[in-house]
Amino acid sequence: MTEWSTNEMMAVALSPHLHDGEIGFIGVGSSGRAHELVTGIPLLAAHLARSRGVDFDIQIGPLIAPEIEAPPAGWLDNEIYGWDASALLTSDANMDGFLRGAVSVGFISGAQIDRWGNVNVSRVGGEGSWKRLGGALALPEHCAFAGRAILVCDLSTRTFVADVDYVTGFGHRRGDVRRSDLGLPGGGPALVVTDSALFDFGDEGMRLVALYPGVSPNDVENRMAFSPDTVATLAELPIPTDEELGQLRELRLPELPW
Amino acid sequence: MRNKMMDIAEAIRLVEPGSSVALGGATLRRKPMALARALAGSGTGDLDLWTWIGSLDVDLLIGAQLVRSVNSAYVGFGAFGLAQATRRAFVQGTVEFRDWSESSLVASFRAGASGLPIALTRALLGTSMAAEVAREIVSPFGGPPILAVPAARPDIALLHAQSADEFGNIRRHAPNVTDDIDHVIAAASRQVIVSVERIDSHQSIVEHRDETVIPGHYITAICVAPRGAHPTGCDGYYDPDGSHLAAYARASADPELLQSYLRDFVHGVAPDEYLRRVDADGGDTA
Repeated sequence: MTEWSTNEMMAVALSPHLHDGEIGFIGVGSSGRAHELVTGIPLLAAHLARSRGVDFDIQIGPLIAPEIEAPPAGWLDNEIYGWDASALLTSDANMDGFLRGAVSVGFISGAQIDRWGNVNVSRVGGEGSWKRLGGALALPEHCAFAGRAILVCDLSTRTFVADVDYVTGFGHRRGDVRRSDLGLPGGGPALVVTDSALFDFGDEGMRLVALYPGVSPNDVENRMAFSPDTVATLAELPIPTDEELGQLRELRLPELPW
Repeated sequence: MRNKMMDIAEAIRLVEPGSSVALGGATLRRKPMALARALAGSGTGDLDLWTWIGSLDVDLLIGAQLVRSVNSAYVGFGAFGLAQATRRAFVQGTVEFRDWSESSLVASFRAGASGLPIALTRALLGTSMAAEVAREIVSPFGGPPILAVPAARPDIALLHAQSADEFGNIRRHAPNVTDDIDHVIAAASRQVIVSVERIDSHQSIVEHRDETVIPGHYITAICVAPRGAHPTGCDGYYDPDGSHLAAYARASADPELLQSYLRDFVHGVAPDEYLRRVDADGGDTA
């Protein structure tokens, strides 16, 4: 048995949720842990799916279907956009595709995520104590228009909150307002991949569906500020196989330059 | 065709106090930094900034206390962290922030570019941003509610490009990065100033006319500014300057350091002197 990292476990857990004929939208330009969550882990999971013969493509912003198996030498713009790919669209044309449903899966993370999958990357605090984060970028589009959004996020009581301070991306419900009331065409958040467990969304909101090896339901709930619903038969995911780890490790993703 | 060549100081005098100013590029690529520094040094204030994805351009102008409001989908330094002068202005309430998403801001600029007063979007439905920039309307043709947002129609746009001819035909050539909406911003703005890495002959533009992304008759002024996007990158010319970006991020976090940065690199510092000071500091592109 080979030792595995948390990121590798997250990629292995995410990978079976990527399907034939789909395209996933991956963002770049974040730093540190956020870069691993929204760029590194989705790329690893996509590579793993493709290693099993699943025809899953990605797009890096307007760069469509880059050769995942031959990643760029670095994460600088000139390197990313020089990646062998099928198309390099202009951003406005790329947004058009997004809005009409061309993106199957959007990979996102958040500073705050609530029970209903509402996501906040904009502002935290409240009256008299607001602080700004970076801003929405295309997160609202991921939540509104992608076939489904997959959240990749470490468990923490600061992140998994009862109610987000500010809605950057709409989940399944806020107060009495539901997705169907708004006419949002995409599927919204469908899966939450964390460092310890997987969640989906049911009638009662976020729902614990699978634990990573050696993790208990208590470990999970202690790192959330609300109690998630739980499926009747909670799965425990197997440890990554040597074959999976071998496939993950053949993909040499570049280090961040800074 | 008219010759559009101006030096940066002359071009930046076209920006009037209280005007709306669009800034091109995105995050750490092709930001119009030489123009933004000249504007910051000019003291022209009460500016309403419009940028798709802002970074040092916005933060520097806020740091120079020239900004009244910001419309954008993001202001930050990407891998270099949060824009701290921007965050202080938000907390102090000295700048009004109207937050958009990427596609809703594209829609707004497109409406401006096509002479319409509003754009329609669904991207902000159910979000907190809707209250800042949108109003719900009912389609006269039926269907679910939809949001209207105002058209962006900036008084003047500041862009940085790889090259142009003296008539202002803006060329984008390989290797290029297309992840921006400069061509839409140019079409939406009443005046457009573009700084470029180099001037191409008109003959060369004619031979590569499929590479002209903005035609010269949209353009008010062309300024030659080698490394004019520094410390952000310019496709095929130079990458973002990591050490200078890190230094700016540190300065942005401390009001005194920021004033000292503005003294060293902005106020009264001409573009060629700026590059000499950057190189003396040992920037990555030195």
